[in-house]
Amino acid sequence: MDFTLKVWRQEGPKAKGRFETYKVTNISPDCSFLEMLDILNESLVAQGVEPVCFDHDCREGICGMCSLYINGHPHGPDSQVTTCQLHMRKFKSGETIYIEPWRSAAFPVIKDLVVDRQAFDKIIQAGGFISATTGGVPDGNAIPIPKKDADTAMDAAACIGCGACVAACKNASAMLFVSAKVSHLAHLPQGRLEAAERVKKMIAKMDELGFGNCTNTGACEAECPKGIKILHIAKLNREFMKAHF
Amino acid sequence: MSKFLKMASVTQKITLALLGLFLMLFLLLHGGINLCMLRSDGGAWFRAAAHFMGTNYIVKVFEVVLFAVFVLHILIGLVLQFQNWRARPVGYKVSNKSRTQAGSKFMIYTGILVFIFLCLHMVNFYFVKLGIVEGKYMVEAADVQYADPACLQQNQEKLLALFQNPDSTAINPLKPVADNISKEDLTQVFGTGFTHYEPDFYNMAKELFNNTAYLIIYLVLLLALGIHLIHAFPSAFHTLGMNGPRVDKPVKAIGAVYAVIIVLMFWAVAIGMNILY
Repeated sequence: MDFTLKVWRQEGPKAKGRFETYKVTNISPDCSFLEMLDILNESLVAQGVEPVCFDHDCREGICGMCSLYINGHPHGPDSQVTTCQLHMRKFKSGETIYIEPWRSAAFPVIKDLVVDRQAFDKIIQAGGFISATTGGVPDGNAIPIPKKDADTAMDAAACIGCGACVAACKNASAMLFVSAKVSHLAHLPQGRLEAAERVKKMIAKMDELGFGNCTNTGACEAECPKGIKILHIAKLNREFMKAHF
Repeated sequence: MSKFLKMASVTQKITLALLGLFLMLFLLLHGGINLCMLRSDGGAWFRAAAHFMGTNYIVKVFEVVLFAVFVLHILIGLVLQFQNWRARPVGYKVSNKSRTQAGSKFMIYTGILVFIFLCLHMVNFYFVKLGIVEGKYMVEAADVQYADPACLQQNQEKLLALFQNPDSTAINPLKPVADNISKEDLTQVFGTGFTHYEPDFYNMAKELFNNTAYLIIYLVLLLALGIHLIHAFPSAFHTLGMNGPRVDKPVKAIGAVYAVIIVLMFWAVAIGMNILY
């Protein structure tokens, strides 16, 4: 398969970026999107051109490092996959593919397609945890949890913090991410104890970092590689209201 | 305002949603009253309803509340929107293709269209009531349906002085042309039961709906309201946390039905007035 790539190139955080056009040829349909970029980079290095920078780590869809806004979709046109799990067979040979970094005031571009997603870490640090009691590991079934709650918490906990929700949202809102973390812990007895404090602090941090506001468009849900539902945002809103009474 | 800006985003959104739900209730009421216009009674029911809404003290309190709700809903909506625009200073080359809920991407634009409609509507109707804009049609207070014919007969001269249009010599008994009319003058002409003049919203609406250009603008802007509402209803419930796996679909369905009912209700009156009267 052959592709024309329009890739966002930007030397540094302050530099003015631009789109560069590259041709890649003879790409296997079974190639992953990141492997295709590896092939591009090999040819760029051979030509003495600086390779395209992009984030990646596990390449099996669990670390949340890969990003890329591909042809109008975070993580590309396939549903519920990360960019590293996206295969080139999802594209037509000869297609022009636009590759852009996540765009958000809270996720500044570091270089080319790499953005700084520390804002998510800061939100987690603000309250997305359970104050740990050190000591021996407690028995798994010492605190009974209804299956329904455990399942809902697990669905929310599937969030890998990649930031696709922010990238997809027309308002660059981080509500799906924050709601997944809040909902995950709020559904479990261990998390309930600090639920009120947590939701207030995480939302305050989210606002402070310059993310937009949720307008319930559902774009985040449509693009989330882990299929996190916006119903968690409703849960977040409930938790937020409850925290004030 | 600066204090408000410091409020949590979710607090602002919850406020916006509550104000929006209040406005949705108002739309049902307004639409219901408008439907009275379609009765072939020369606007008697509609005038009676307009008179009640214009004079009842509880309604008068709600009028102030409604005005405040409108202003707050618009202001908070704008504040949130400016924050949203600021959250993505550099846009994408390829516009977003994510699947989104109907109408949800255009709330600010449909909102602006509804605001334009609101301004037009205020100039055409509400400001006439407040006396800011001069109305074309006036009607006596509804508790005096018709002037006393005997009085009119006796005070023919005075009537002409008060109501004869110097340009056309036509008499419009519903609209005085003289500026300095005292209440005594009017009671002399119309009888003692006369209390005050009210704008004749029925005839005002009839004239506007029979103006094709206005009718088209009205229908288009009402459609924008419908698109605003189709997302507004489920979105408000979502923001208020009243959503879950079991209610998600019913809430969206009720929202769609509500939006369609509102648009059809207002459209029916506009088109009906154009065709029937």
